[in-house]
Parts: sequence; C-alpha cells; structure tokens
Amino acid sequence: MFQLAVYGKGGIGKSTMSANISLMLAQHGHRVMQIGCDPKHDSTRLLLRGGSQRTVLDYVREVPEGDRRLEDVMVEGSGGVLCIESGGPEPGIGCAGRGILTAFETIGRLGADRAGADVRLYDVLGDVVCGGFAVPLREENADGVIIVTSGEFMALYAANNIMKGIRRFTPERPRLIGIVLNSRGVEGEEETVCRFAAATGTRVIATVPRDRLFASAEAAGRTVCELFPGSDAAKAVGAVVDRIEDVISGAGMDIPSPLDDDQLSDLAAGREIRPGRRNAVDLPACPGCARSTSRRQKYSCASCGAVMALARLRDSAVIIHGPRSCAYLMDSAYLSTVADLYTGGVYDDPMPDNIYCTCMDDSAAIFGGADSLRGTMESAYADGFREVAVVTTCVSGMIGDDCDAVARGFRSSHPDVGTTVLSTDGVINGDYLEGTDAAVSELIRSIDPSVGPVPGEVNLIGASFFDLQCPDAAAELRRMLGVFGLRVNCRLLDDTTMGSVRGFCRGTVDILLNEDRASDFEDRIAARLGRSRERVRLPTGPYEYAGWLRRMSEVTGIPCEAEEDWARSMTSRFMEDHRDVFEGRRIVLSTVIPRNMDWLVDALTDMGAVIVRFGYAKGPDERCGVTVRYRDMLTFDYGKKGMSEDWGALHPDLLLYDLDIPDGYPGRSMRLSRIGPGVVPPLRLLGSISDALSTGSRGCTE
Amino acid sequence: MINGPDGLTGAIMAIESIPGATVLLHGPGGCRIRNSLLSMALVPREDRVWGAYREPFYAGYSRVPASYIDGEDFVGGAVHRLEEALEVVRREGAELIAIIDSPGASLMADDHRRAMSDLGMDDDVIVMDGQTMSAPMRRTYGRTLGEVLRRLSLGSGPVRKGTVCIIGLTVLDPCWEDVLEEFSAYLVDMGLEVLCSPGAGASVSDLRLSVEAEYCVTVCPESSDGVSGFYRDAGVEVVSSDDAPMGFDSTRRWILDVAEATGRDPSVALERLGRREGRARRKADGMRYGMMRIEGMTFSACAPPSVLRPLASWLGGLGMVPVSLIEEDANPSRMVPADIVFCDGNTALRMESGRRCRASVSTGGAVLGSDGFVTRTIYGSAGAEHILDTVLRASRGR
Repeated sequence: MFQLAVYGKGGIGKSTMSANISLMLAQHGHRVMQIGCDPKHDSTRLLLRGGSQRTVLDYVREVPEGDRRLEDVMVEGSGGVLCIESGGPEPGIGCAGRGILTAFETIGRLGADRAGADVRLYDVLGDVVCGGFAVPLREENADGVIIVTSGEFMALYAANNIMKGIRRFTPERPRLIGIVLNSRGVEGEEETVCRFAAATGTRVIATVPRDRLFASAEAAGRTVCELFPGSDAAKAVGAVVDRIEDVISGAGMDIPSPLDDDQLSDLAAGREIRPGRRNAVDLPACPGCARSTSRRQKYSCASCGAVMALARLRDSAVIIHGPRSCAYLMDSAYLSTVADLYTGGVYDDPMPDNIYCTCMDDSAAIFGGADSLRGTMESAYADGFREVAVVTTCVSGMIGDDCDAVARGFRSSHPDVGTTVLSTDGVINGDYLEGTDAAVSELIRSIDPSVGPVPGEVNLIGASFFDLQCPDAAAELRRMLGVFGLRVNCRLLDDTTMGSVRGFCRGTVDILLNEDRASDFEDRIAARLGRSRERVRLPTGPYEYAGWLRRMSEVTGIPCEAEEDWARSMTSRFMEDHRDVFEGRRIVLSTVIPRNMDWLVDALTDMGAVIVRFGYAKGPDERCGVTVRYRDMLTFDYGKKGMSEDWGALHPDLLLYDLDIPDGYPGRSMRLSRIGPGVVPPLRLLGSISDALSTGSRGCTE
Repeated sequence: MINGPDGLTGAIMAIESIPGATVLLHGPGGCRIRNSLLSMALVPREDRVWGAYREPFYAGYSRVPASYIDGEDFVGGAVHRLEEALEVVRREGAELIAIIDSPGASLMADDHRRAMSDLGMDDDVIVMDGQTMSAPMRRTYGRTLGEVLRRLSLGSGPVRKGTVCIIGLTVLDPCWEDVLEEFSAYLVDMGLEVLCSPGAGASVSDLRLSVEAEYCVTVCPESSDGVSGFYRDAGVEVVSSDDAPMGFDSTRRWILDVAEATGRDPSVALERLGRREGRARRKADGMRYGMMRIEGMTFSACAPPSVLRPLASWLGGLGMVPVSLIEEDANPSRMVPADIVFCDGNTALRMESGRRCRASVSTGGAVLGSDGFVTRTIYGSAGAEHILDTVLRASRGR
C-alpha cells in the first residue's frame, strides 16, 4: 500500500484537491482510502455527495471498545473511495493533535489495513503545528507528501514549515512528491512558487487554475473530476495523479531544503534568494534543551505538592483534574504519609475522604475535560463539601481547559461554595515544593484580616508537622499549651479546616515549628496582613523549653514558675541518671532533615559525649536549618560515603542519623525519627540513645 | 473516591513483571517515582540497590527510569531527552526495553521511532502505543503483556505435552508469589508441569518457551485480556472459568475445570485444598461463638466481576450482607461504608483511616509501606483464610 499525505496552509484547498486526487486514482483502478485529519471533518464531503459521516473520535466517545467496527466509521464514496473522517474537538477546547493520534490508533485497531486499499491518502489540517498533526507525516504513515500552496507569503511559510517537518522525521530519505500550486490569482504567483520550489530543492507538479468550476462542483457536493472531467482543472489534477503513479512505480522523490527566515524574506520581496546561513531544519526545537541533563530534573510534580497540602483541609474537597493515574500516584504518596496518623491516634477525627479525580481519559484529552470537572465538582458538593479546590495536571494544562470558568459557573449555581483553582499543571509549573508553596500561598490569600484575636487561641505554622505526628508528641504539645490555657485555632499546614484558615487571625500568637520554612510562611502571612504577628518558635529539649516558658508567660501574662521547676528537676534527674553512659562516648550526628538539632548537641555534650562529626547532607549554599549556634561544627555534603569513612577513621561509639545509612554499616547506629516538642519526648529520645550506647544494640526511635 | 491504579501503572508493571525487561517511562518524574518503588517492592530482582543508580534518568532508583520531561518539553517536544535516556538505559543491558508514554507525554506525540532509529535500536526497543490514560488497570496489564508477546515474534513451536502456563495473575495482585506457589502446587498435583506464568515473574526466555505449553490456565480472566488471545492464536488451549478462584468453593471449581479441560485427575489437588479447608472448618468450630458474630456483618466490594461473584456468594453463605458491589473501573465511583470492604489497596487504607469500615481486604494495587510479611492474598485457600481471619477480627466487639 502506498501512503500519501496532503499538507498545506488552512483554507488552501487541500480537501478539494485530496477528494479530486482520490477519485481520479480510483478511476485509474486503484482502491483508495481517504482519511480526513481535520476536526471540521469535511475532507470527504465531495466524495459523499455533500454529505457528512460519523467521525472516528465521536465514535470512540460513544461506542464501547468491544462493540466497535470499522464499517461504522468508513463509508464508500464516489468511485468506491473508502472515506474516513478523524474528527476532533470544537475550536478552542481539547487537544486536536491528540485526536489525530487516537484516530490513527483506533482505525489501526479496527483493521483499516485489511480493508483492501492500495493507496491511502491523508488530508491533514493546516500547518504542522504540533506533534499530533505531524503524525501523518511520519515515515511509517507517509511514503510520500504533497504540499498544496498558493503564491501568498503565509501559504509559502506554511509549506516551508511542512518541509522542516519532513526533514526532521527523515533527513535522508526522499519523500516529497512535489508542490501543487492552487492559484489564487496573485500577481507573479507561478513565478514565486517556482522560485520557492527551486530554492527548496523540489518541483511544482501541477498548477491548478483559479476556476469557477470548483465552486460549481462544490455547490453540487461533487468533485470537479466527476462533474467536469475534461476541464483544465481536472487536467491539472490528472498531472498530480500521473506524478503519484510515477512515484508508486518507482520514480524519485525529493529531500526538501527548507528556507531560513532571511531566505523567506528574499522570496517574498522578489529578491534573489541568498544562500542559507545554515539549514533551518538542523536547529533543535529548543536550543536550551539540547542536552536535557543540563536542566534540573524535577523528581515530583507541582500538582502532587499542591494536593498533599490542600488535602489536609478536612472540610475541603480536592479535585485532581487529570487522569486516574495522577490520583492513584498522589493518593499513594498521601496515604503513605498520613494514613497511619489517623489510625495511630494522632488525630481525634477520622481521615476525610476528600481527594477526587476527574479521571480524564483519551476522550476528555481530545474534547476537553470541562464537563467531567463540572460533574466531579457536583459530586463533591453532593457529598457535603462546601469548599472545593481544583488542582490541574499536565494533561488538563496542556489541553488548556478553562478551569476558572468552570469554577465560576459552579459558584453561580452554588453560591454557598468556596472554590479555588490551582493551575499547577503537573510538572509544567514546577516541582513538588513549588506546588506546596502555591497551595500555601493560596491559603494565605484566603486569610480574613478583619477577624479579631480571640484570647487563648494560637496558630501552629510549619511546612512539616512531622515531629508532632505521634501520640506522645501531640500529648506533650497539649500539655505545654495547657500550662497557659491555650488551644490551637489553625494548623498551617496540618490536619485543619478552611474555616480556621480564613479565621487565622483569631490566633493571638503564631507558634513556628522547628524547621526553617515556618519562618517563610510567617513572613508571607505578615505580607498578606500588612503587619507582623506575635511569633514564638516551638521548643525542642529542656534548654529551649525554659526560654519558651518565659516568652509565653510574657505573652499571656500567666506565670510558669511551677512548670519551670518541674522541667528543670526532670532534666537534672535524667542527666544524673545517664551521665555515666554518655561520658566520653564518641558520636557521629548525621542529618538530612532541615530541623534544628542544637538542643541535641547541647544535651549530648552536657552529658559528656563527644560529637566527632556533625554532618549535613546538603551543601553550604543551601539554607541550613539544622543548626543556629553550631554552624562551625557542620560538615556539609555529608552522606553515606562520609559515614563509612568516619567509621574507620573516627571510631564512633554511635552513629545518629535521620534518613539513611550505608548498607552493612558495621557500627552501632540509631535512627532519629520523630523527636517531638518540649521536654518529655526529647528526654525519651535521649533515653533511647543511652540504651543504644549501654547495650550496644542497634536501636531506632519512633 | 476509588483512587486505584489505572492503565499507566498496569502497562508499566506488566513490563516490569518480566525479569530482564525494563520500562523507560517517557514522562515527568512525578509519574515515575511511585511506579519505580512499586516495581522494586513487588518484583524480586538482583538490582534492588537503594540510591545506587546515580545516573541521570535513574535518579537513585533502579527501576522505571524516566526521561524526566518538564514544562519546556511539553512545548518543544522531548525526543532529545528520550534519546539521551535510551542511551543510558541501553548501558544497563536490559534484554528488553519498552517505552511507555505518561499521559501528558502521550499528547505531545513525540516520534519514539526516530529516537530509536537515531540510536540504531529499532530492533531492541518496543514502543507501547496503546492508550493508558484512565484505562482499566487489569485490561491494560493484559494487553501490554499480549503486545510484548506479539513483538517477541514467538512462533508456535512443538507442543510440550502435559505443560501449562498460568495467566491472569499480575504482580499487582496481593502476594502474587504465594498465589503462584499454591496454584502451581495444584497443577503439579494433577501431573502438569508449570512452564511459567506470563505477567507474574516470567522472564523473556520463559515467554519464548511459553508458546510450547499445551495449556494456559487463567486465574483472573480480566487480567488475561490480550494474553489469552495471543496464546489461542498460537494454538495453546486456554482454560478459563467465569469466576476467579477465591474462597474454597471457587478454588475447588477451578481445580475441577482445569482437570476436566486437561483430562487430568484432580483428586490429589482436591485433597490438598481439602486439608486447608478442613483445618479452617475445625478452627471455625473451635471459635463457634466468634464465628456467630460474623452473621449480619455488612460488606462492600469493588473488584472485577470474576471476583465479585464468588465473593458475594461465599460471604453471603456465611450470613454476611452485601451493601454495595461495584465493578472495578466503574467511573465515577465511591465505596459504600460497611463492616468489611474489598477494594484496591489505596482505597482500602483510606476507608480504614476514615473509619468507614472495621477492616479491609486489598484486591490489588499495592500500597507501599502497608505490605507486611503475612500472606494477604484473595485467591486460593490462603486467600480464603486471610479473608476469614480479617472478617473474624473485625467482628470483635460487635
């Protein structure tokens, strides 16, 4: 079978030419299949007496896969030409390029190859605007290409782009059959097109006259070749068909040399075309992308970061506008992080079932996903959610779904609902952290500055609540706040509600968690409100706790001497009991997680231990949240290799790490998992370290 | 919502189920990492070295390398990334490389064949063209595997009498290795030799050998779509029941169906199953009052029809009440709260964490970090015991 693609600028007459070529080839004894690859699906109209047919993509949308048959989308037209229309979305929505791909895959699966055609002609929409529209141009789909053009500059510009596409796919294989000049009556048109053909290394195979017979034939829903077989127009088509048949019989085709911009300007101005500076096709699609490894690789996507953040709002539905795989992969990540917290007693309430997905499939990617988004928002509403956040993914971002418009429409029919649209577009608009940041920014924007403070209420702020997410830590926090009669208003961002975020200013004090991004969040909140708020950092360990008590006493006016005495005596007792275990022991402290470990350095050294290495996994240029007072002790870029080397060189009694150690590390090691605030959890951790040192067993805190 | 795996994970894991084969995911890192971890966790390999793969496109994880396309690539195309990634993956020496597009990449229509051709790898790489976007996981798994079998150009060889392949089992089925072990034992009891299990640990050379099998026996028909058709075309007789072998009765029916189709004596296999069933019955008798609590308990399930039917019949026989039975991949869908839920691992965990059930049973789609070491399958006698155990424990306090 010979496969032929007819390309050219939109409106240049490709479909008219294609139908005439198909018919004449059929009249010459060929079994021809014409496939229209234009969403407006009118390629085969002139072969069907002006009628239209069901498109492949409509068919795919309407008929389940197991029930599909080729005959349902293939109609026999004039001359026995087999007619198929791919179809596509309405203008401005969806992805027509993906539609072409799907249509090709579908007719392939339905057995188009077995339909008996010996010539297949693809009539392709306009320019080669994206990969999808270039599919018919691929080597496996087109043995030869015909370009239809007029002498107008934009038509020639499009023809030049098509040549670039041909060269890009097959730089060394001749596949261009030639140019068909479809005359528009422009002055000097034939000469211009001939110069263009000569400059690009191809030929004009036919000049189709500007002839009112085309209009007459079209009005009758027929081809010129059928109605006016002896006309000049039909003869011109005959010249094209002769050339095609020559090619089928083995005649040579051309490898085009597309022009660069300067050469095109010369052509348009009627000047002699200067030599090309370089072959226009040799330029990569994006010069900056020539080596992908030179760009930062994004290991996760912004959509995932946004979903992980927004799902923490238990009164808010998060709708992932994308394929089901996005929901599966993101939900897996989410569940592996938080599910245990709900079953493990960290939170009083059960985990909300608030992650939705529009489950975009191929059809939604082609025709647009607005309907499925609207439907999913309705489902969330029916489930009782009055806050709905939409997070876009690569697919919805690429096809350009107008999610804001859908959200506006939804709000107008449900005025009691708050909506947020985060156009993270998967990996297009950043990575995981950027997605989280976008979500937090959106939440900060929703804070109502007019809300007044409520005595006794505080906010907790942090990007990670990791250290608080175990029952012991949660109990200690409750105890610490209870000393001053405080309760939590908003946890930004942990299990909380949109209502508490809006009413953020009810909190009289913001308590920042033990990590550096908490300060960043607080700065953004201050910028949003136009004023700084009272802030206190959540303490870890006995020394920080003493300072915290004094500070909170100032803020609340509630005395704390009794608590100070209790904490001091508890700490003293612990140190007395364990000092002999720590005295002189050599400890390597290795950390990846950016949380302040000063308290641990203080505690270990105060009990007589020697910290022979304080390693941090990242470099000195990055924001270093692991210490405030001991930066000069830090070894940066410290990892498994360093740990292995230090085992031999420094002979530590214990390696304390928080994420990973070398496989088969020979010494004693202990993982620092959740630490917890205040006094009790840190002392418990120190107790575990003491056990590890005294028993010599490998331990692990949880 | 039911947020179980779809065709993307199905296609990826179908390839990753084949030792010696590797997926090259043409897509962003976000689509890669969980699938990479799934592959490392579910398929036994020699190369599970955490953090050792420092090359670009591997980023520390040995499985499912990706081209790591980003926003600029979505506009400008990413064949160059694919070429670079292919070069790196080639160095790892896989017997078979399969390129699978992420949903976003599938819209770009990059010309994979050009990348392969530029590197002279036309014969070494398979491009999976099918649509995976929100497609059913099991069906895509089977079809992907069927496509691999076709691309391997396996001719039908001489039939090896008395041999059998097990199909319709995926590495995403909970504890698939235990299932394979149990059903292989039944087949051996019937005097059949198990050549391999395409889609569940069969290597490339196993797959080449598989066309010589006299029979293929099916565990879950929905997971064998595409595979069974291939073997039928290759002249291998495919034995398949409407119901998957879950619960003692359906497992017995499975053994009898295989025996009938292959002309073998099922008595030894039935005896093996009977021993397990008898033990379960004795235990149940010993826990008489505990078992009485089961009556009236509710269950809801989302699973393939071949699993739903025997499940509903078996649990109904125990006096349990179905409140919702949903065919897997029905869309959109939400699990109905019940005492026990049967669904994909993600949704099961979500139902438990949300206290919308007393206990859950995963029917597929592993949740990393919740795997455990105990056999928690749904198929065969081990599956029956696991389900009974879960139901019994959940009945406490009723």
